[in-house]
Amino acid sequence: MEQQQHKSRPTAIRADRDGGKMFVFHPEGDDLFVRSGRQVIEHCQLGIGLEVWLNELRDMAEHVAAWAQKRPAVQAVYAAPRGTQITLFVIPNADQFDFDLADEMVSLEIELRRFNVGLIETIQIPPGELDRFVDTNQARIIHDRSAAAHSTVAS
Amino acid sequence: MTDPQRHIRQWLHNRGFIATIEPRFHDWIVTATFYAALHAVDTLLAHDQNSRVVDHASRNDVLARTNRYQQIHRHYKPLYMLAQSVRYLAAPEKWIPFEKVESHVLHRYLYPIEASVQKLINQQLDLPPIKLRTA
Repeated sequence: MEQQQHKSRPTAIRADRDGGKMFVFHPEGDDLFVRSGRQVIEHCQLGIGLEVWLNELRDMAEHVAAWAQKRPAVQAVYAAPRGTQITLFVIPNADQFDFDLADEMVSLEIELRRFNVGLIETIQIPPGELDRFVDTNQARIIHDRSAAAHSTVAS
Repeated sequence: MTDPQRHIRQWLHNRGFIATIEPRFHDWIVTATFYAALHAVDTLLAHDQNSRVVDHASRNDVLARTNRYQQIHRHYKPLYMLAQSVRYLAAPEKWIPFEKVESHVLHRYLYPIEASVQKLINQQLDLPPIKLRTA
């Protein structure tokens, strides 16, 4: 179907005036959506909120990648959702728990509170044990010194 | 709100247990030490009438966000990390060798947490250094 270009002024939906008014949406295909003006506004707000959150998440990941890049003791960092929080799995170069790195991770967690992405937790785990702690399909690489000479931030 | 004295009892109870664990089970020394620290922290939270803490995440969050608890947070959080990791590993003795338990897990983490809690609740408890069993 040929799309028509509407040159008329857009239809305004005002919460105070149209919040209870019903609107019918006809997407391509056989679907039909009926939403109140209030729901339309809420969907738009949710879309903006999600976009802001994703931007914050990307900025946070870049901050962590830079943090890891500066620390030779860090081999890799993965991020994954766990419950209601984001967990950063920090893998040291050594086979033993790195106590000094753990102290630095506490400082990192404090720094990360400025990113508006909810609760963030860091945990140090041994090399080669990621799948003991998280579904690796859900984990995203933030930094991996062994896989590449440069850090990678996955969106 | 839990009575702080109940947490003190469990804190001392876990402390007593640490000293009984054989060195070959030293991953459990880490876990028991963490739970001694947890009850020390909960003693303080109960003393401060903080009722927001219901799980590890909320406890960690309160410790991280409260200035009064900063010193404790610096020692508690790495111990939490270590305890979280060690209990799921197939070879925990490699991740945390027994030789590091006394110097790092007790001296670096548990004792400073205990000292801070006693100071903040203004109560000195009888907490002698834990004498770990030897092989």
